[in-house]
Amino acid sequence: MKISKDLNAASASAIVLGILRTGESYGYAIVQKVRELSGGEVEWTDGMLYPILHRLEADGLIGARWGESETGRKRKYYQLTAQARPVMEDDRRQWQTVNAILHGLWVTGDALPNTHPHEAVTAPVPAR
Amino acid sequence: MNSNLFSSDLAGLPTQLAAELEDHLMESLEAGLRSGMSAEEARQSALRSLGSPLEIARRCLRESDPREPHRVPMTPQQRVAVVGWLLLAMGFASRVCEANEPSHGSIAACLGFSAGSLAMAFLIRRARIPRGLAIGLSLGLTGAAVVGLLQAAWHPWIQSSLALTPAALTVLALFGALSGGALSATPRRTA
Repeated sequence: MKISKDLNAASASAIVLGILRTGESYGYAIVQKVRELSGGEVEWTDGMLYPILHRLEADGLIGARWGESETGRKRKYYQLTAQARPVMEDDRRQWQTVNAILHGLWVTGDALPNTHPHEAVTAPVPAR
Repeated sequence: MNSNLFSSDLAGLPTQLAAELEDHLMESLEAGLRSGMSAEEARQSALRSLGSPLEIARRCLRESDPREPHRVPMTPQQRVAVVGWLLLAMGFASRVCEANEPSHGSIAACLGFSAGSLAMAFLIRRARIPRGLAIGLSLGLTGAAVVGLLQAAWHPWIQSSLALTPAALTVLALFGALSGGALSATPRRTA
């Protein structure tokens, strides 16, 4: 299943911040982590990641330090800053809200409270 | 492993970004070698996965400038509109310079179009021009150009006072309309 470009772009920052929440990391490892978490469903182009990292760094949500790889190469490691936590919390609430809406529309067929019910797309409404 | 394998592909990039991308490419190459690829296959695979280093560098520089976090690139239409306004300003300036005694109106028109073009370019670049102001400015400039065109067609006074020909005013009106569309389509960068 290929994730659309728009959905990839919309979720990329939140995914990167979520990965860095578990600890410091670097570019290649972040791309591999995304592949692993998605079971291969999400394939970021490697080049897509770096502008996101640089933007998050410019916005103050992540910090960076230069270290060395196991083979002695220069490597840039990224880590979350304190400013990231409220942003991530806000991102989490927004995605959970969207997920709840879609779940209500596609799975249970139930509408949100205080709105008109919609016909279920995938599951029939059980007879009473 | 020789890290100069990618030096030619990363030539011209800022030093730190080149180092970061080189690390990525080397990791990718080593993964390719572990999966059984030849050195050249692994190298090509790493480069394909990464994409164009120059394009990445361009986007990184755009994203990471801390002085202008809300800077957005200008669309081609916006660039054409701004360049058009500047060319018109140059055209008016040349008419002013040719005239024996340029009127105050001519001088004001040159300065106004020049300043207006540069201001529009700056505001578009900073993505801070409110939509209403953009539409208002464009409609105002286009309207003034259309009025001037009509006056030139029926009232010779506008020709002598502003040193403009009807053809120049027509071009002015067209660029006003183009810039109106370009300005009103200013992209907004989302947080």
